[in-house]
Amino acid sequence: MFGLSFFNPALLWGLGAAAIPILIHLYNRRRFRTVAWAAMEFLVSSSKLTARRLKLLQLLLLLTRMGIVSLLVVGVARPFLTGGFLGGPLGKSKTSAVIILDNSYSMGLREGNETVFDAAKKAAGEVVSSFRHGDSLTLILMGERPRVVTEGNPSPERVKKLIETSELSDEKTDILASLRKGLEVLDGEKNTQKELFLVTDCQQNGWSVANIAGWDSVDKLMQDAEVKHRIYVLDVSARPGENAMLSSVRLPAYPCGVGKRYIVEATAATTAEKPAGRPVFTLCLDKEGNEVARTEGSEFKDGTSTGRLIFSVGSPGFHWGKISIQPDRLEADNTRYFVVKAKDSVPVLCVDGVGSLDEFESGIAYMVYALAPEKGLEGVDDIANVLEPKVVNVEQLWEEELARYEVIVLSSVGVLSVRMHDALTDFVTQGGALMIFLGDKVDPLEYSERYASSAPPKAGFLPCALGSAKGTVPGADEKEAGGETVRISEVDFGHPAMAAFRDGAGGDVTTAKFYRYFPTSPDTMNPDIQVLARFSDGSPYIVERKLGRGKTILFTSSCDVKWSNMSLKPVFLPLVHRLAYYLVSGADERYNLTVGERMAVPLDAEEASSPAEIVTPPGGVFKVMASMPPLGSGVRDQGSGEEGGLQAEPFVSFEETSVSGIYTLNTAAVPGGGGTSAPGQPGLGEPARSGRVRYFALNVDTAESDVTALAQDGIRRLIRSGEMKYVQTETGTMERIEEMRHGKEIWRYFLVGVLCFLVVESLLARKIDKG
Amino acid sequence: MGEEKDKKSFLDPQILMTLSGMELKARMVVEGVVSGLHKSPYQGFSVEFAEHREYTQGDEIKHIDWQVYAKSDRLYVKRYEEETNLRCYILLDSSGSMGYRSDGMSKLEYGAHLAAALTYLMLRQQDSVGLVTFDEAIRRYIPPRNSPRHLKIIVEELEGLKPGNKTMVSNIFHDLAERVHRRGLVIVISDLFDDPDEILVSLQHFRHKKHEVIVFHLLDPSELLFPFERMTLFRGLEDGRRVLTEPATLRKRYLQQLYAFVDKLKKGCRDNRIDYFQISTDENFGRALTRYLGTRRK
Repeated sequence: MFGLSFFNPALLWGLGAAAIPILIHLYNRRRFRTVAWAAMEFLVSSSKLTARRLKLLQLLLLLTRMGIVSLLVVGVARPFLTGGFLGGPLGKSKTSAVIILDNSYSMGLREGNETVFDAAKKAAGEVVSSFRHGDSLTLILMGERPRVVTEGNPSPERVKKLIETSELSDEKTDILASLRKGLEVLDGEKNTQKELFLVTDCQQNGWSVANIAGWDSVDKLMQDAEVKHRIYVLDVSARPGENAMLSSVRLPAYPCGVGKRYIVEATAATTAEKPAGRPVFTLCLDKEGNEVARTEGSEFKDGTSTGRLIFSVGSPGFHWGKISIQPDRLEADNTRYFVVKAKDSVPVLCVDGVGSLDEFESGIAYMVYALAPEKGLEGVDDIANVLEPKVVNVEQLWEEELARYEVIVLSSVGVLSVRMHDALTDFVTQGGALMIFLGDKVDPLEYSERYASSAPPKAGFLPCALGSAKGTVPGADEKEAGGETVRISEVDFGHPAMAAFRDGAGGDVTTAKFYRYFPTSPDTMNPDIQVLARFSDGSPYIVERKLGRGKTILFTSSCDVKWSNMSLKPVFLPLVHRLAYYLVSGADERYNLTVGERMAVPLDAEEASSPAEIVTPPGGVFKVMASMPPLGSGVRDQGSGEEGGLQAEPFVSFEETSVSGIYTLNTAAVPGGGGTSAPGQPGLGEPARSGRVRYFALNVDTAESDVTALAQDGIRRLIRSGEMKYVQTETGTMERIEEMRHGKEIWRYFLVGVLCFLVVESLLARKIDKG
Repeated sequence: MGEEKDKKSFLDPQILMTLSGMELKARMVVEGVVSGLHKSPYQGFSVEFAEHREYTQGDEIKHIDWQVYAKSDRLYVKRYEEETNLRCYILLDSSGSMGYRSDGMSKLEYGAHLAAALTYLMLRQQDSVGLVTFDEAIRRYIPPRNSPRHLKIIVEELEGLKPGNKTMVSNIFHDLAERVHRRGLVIVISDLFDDPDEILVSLQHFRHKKHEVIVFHLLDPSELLFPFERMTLFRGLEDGRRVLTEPATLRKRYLQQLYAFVDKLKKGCRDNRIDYFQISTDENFGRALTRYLGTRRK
């Protein structure tokens, strides 16, 4: 079967012009001249003899002229045949084609000596060979972001060359985005044949089956298209087989201390139903080949195996590591990279608001023990903790240089001077972390009015206003007091600092009793304020507030043992640690990214004054200049929650991250800087301040590692409109494609028809003239 | 003065001067002599000796000059310049169809010029010239005279001619053939748009009455070429019939019919020893006359 379509169907209205010859004929019959004539006998007899024949000839002439106009109009509307047996013999009209070549890392699946990508390039090359000069070809490399690699109107030879030189990326597949891009390209084309070739392994995760709205939009694009698109899905998938991958590398929640043990947890996964043996994890540090740790993973359970790799670094600053498992058919997912920033220590200033000789009275002693439990113990120097607490009272606070500390803990601190309040607020907004425990010394009215203000120019550091203290402090025995107690009943386990306590794994926070606390009502609609835990009466216990580049965490009870027994519970130590690490190590997230994500990091003004250099894993060197982030760009909230900072900072951004590995950012030296981290600076999560070299680890998205292909039926359910043809490249790709793509632009034949009709018209007119 | 000027222009002295240089000699026929356009129906009438020539076989014995024979013992034959008072009838068709003109003169005007010129020539040769104008009937009959004043009468008649009604050539000719008793020269000037068979029969009638007949068949160039292109409504000059047509579509058939008609007339005239001469009205009528006389001298 074949169909007739028009590239410019609106021009078919011009068929009305076929009536013009009739109108001219009628007009001419009405418009004649009169001649007084003598030889009427001859005229009359001639007229009688020729009238019938002439009428017939004139009718034929009229029809011929109408035919000329009609054929001309239809020809201008650019008709073309699609499908059927006619297209082949008649040849092929000019075609606009988009070849989408999947170069996601799953295409690196090896089959013998060749990868699936090699087969895809071969198939794509064959497709391109079927086009001629004059056809419009566009090559799109399909990764997470579709990339149009052809420019202008390249010849088939040029496109073939581009295909041959295409390389695998480490991105995952996003067929939906690539298809949409391809359809948009085709929409801009004017040829009457529009074809889209999707050369892919049809890996099911790449089809975004759940994105119904996305496929609806593709469907609409195809429905709205003037010319029906023909989509060929060239399935180059290899035989299914088992694939092992390094699915994740989990960095510890605590900062990496210089000379301290640092334990990373690697998880391998396999698609094999019965995995043969355990995976062996190897860890290389800073330089490839410099293996520093090796371990055998656990037995595969539910398809995953875990191994812990322990290492330490000898210097502060950025370090990167690479963890691998044994190579298999798909190599890209057998390695993962990570970046850590090592610190000598994390200074914590603990402010005792009570000022008692007994530090346990204010509870600050519990905090110090919780922050540095190893202090004073023999033989535990290499444990990972880098927190170094120092206790001062309120008066001594003036003598401290706040900028030296990364965390300040306030415990039952009463009224602060305006200058001290402003200093603490500046400390936070510049990137410092503030933990506030309340207590007897706290005046809720004072706190609420002065420290919880959100009014400019100086917003308070407190996340919310305090109500009057609730509950009764028991005596020696709480039962004797007969006061009511509350417990933690609601925890936001989605918060990075609280995730470890899910299912009681990191300690049971519900065991603690609270006798007295300050009820609060934080503005939960404010995105900068988050409640991490609530009491059983619904009142918040832990409230976080982002302020500038720093954070404040408010505990609505005290850390002493009068208001609660939390400090005595085993869970207190991990809770304090998790929150402290969360406050100081969160910034490292921006250096551990997934392939395709944008690298973006703020720079100091001095660094930003000169071009930065980015070295990619393949060895490419790019010069980038720092720029100011546009409003609402989200650049500064990446991993640090800096959106809404008081002052915008210059930053560098790099998007060509299609290859996994370590990317190096070299900036100009900061005068006075040593190229290493400067411990004790506020905002320790800001490596930009500490050196000239930064690393970024970009890892593959392991969703791509499942090479199971989506079945043909599934593809057909997604590509509903247009004409979709599924071709398995194993069975003669081009033969099948050629069978499917018959189609012919036939306006030339209409033109020939017009010429033939003109000849006929001329002959008829001459015949009629001759009588 | 004015009248004289009209006459002069009508007779175009330049043309007449050209014609006067020619000898208007008719072919000699068995029974007579032709002077000018006509041949004489009589022998030995008003004869002047011209020259002798040697006798050849076939010459009539009666023309041998016996006196010369007696003197020279050779046979010579006398040759004569003979004159005769011939009666010439110019039959000018003034029917409606003669009023057609495509450009320049109408056929009737052209015929009138021709008739005037011939009249002048005849009168100069001392012949008697009469004029008959007709359409479906004889409209005017001017009997033959040879007085110089007769020219004025005929010219005045020609000047006043208007196209009339339908053509009834054959009836008129039959009528005239019966009415003209004395042999003479009959000159027909007409487009002859009538039944050709009947025309030929009527011309035969003249021949039967021993008249010499010359037919000047006048046709307009448009009638000969039918050059019309656009849609045209043809309105008959004589009967008012109308034909709306694209002329180009009829041209071929029309011309076939016209030339068949002309050929039929030519052949019929030739068969009846009638001089047939077709003239297109775009041709200078003096030149046409000269051309005709040229053919007649042969």
